[in-house]
Amino acid sequence: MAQEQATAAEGRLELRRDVSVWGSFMWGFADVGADTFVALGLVMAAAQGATGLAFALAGLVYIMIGLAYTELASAYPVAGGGPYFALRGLGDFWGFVAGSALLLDYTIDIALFAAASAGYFNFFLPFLFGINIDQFVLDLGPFRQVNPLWCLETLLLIGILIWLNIRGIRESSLVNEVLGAVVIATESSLVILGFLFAWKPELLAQQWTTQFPSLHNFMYGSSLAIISFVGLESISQAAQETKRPATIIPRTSITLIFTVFIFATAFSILGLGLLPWQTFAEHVDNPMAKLAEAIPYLGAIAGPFTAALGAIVLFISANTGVMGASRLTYSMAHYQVISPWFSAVHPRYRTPARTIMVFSVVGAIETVLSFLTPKALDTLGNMYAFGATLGYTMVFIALIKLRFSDPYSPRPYKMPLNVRLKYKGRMVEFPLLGLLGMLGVSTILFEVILTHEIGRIAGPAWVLLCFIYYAWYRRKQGLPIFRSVERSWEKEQMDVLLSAEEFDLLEQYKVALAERDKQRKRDVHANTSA
Amino acid sequence: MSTRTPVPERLGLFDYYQILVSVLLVFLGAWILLREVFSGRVVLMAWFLGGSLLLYGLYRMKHVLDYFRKKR
Repeated sequence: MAQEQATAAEGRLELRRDVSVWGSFMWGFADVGADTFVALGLVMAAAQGATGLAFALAGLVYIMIGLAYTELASAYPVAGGGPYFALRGLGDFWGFVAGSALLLDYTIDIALFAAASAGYFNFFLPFLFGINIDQFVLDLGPFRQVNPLWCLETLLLIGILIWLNIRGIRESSLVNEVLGAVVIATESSLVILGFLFAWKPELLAQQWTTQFPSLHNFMYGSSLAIISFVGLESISQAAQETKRPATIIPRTSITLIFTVFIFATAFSILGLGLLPWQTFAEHVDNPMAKLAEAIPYLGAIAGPFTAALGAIVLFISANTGVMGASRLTYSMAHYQVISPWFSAVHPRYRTPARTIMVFSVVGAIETVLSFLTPKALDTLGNMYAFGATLGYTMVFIALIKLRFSDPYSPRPYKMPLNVRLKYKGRMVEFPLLGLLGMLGVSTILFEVILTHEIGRIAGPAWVLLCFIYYAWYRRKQGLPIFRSVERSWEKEQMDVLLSAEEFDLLEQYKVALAERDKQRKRDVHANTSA
Repeated sequence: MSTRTPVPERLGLFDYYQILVSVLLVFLGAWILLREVFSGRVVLMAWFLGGSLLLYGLYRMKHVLDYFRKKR
């Protein structure tokens, strides 16, 4: 019976796979694990001697964001991620706001990681062709220090991504697992060998005391450090496509969160104990290769190997931007936040070609615009931080709201530190850590608005542009703009749990709903007899 | 519904990876601390880093040992 129900539900929802715990972990790591390759140089250039502290502070906030995603993704295992949680907890309008913020991030993800991938490839230019990428920097009219070759390389990579995704050629789980394992092994070796044989704590201490940044620079750097933790939405995507997500997701996502946190902070502390921060700031296009090169004995091999690995994993990370935008727009179209025009599939390749094309082209435009500024990667990181912090703030608010409005959905994992409160005659658990996380990520959002000259204008402008589209579309469809469309969340939750083969959770959910209905009847009866 | 993650019934590749990381954390933390002791200098950051890695590694190892103790 249960099997038949599952089969029926699978017909309505996307098919789920038997992803192992290791496979699920590597899925996330292949996405998030590469981010330090980009962030290290950008954060060093801003946070200078306090880079380790900047990573640690941003990392603490990221841990709380990760725990929030773990709770929500295991309770609502659907690929919509942050915008879905916001839509469900706060309504259609706030779901749209979170969606537009994360959509901005996916497009930036395409541009930023493609540019960073090209940056690591450029590490080889002096060896291959005897040229340096900086030789091509020129002034174009009012635009200073433009690098057209690096820009063209990035656009070429985006073009390849468009072609691969429209044709439906994606990396397999096996490729993800192998590549993820190689990245972990490489990063672990760099950390261990670096700390064992090359790390000079006195250099770290000297940079901390003599090169501590100004408050403005530190705020800028710590808000950029959030780039190291891009890709938490992959937790939701893994939850959507995994059978029995309630048992797998909490284990893999918590390990993922702490692994990435340890690597990001370790590399920043190791880097400052190996080389002056200025070296990383000068090689913002391939900082990890510079770090690997500085390790004695192995540097001559580790440097080029890390650069090659960086070029590959960052290209795959850019691909997650294309895939993420497709999944997000599919989910938003399903909930009538945007037009179903976006979710149409290609007649021949059966891929969401329109979404891939539209948002990859947006990514390409962002690439060109960012290369018109003197620091292209910095500009893209600047924009990314705005979208991420706005989207994550909405996720925290949704987490807190859902604890009150939907205490019936079983939560296989809950964020720690909860306070039991009585609300409308029933006990609910208020997430203190969720509140702390919300304050933390709001603080970073505040830092972004205060210190990111481009992000504070371009970010809100993007959300405003999306709002104009959203208002036009909802009005055209006769749907409310600020209110929500009526939906049967309870039926949908049952369908989701059924398709995930979480039969125990489904039973728990039905029992909780039945008890609620009984209580309501008792209350109505008590009121009428009174 | 728990704030703890589920414990596996059988160890898999993922769990061996976790155990290896815990051992490496203990090793690296201890190495950094010992090096500082024998160098004769006082760099607070090195003590803090070494101590943090060692304590976190030991905390993880405690869970590993608890798991094997329960299995027996």
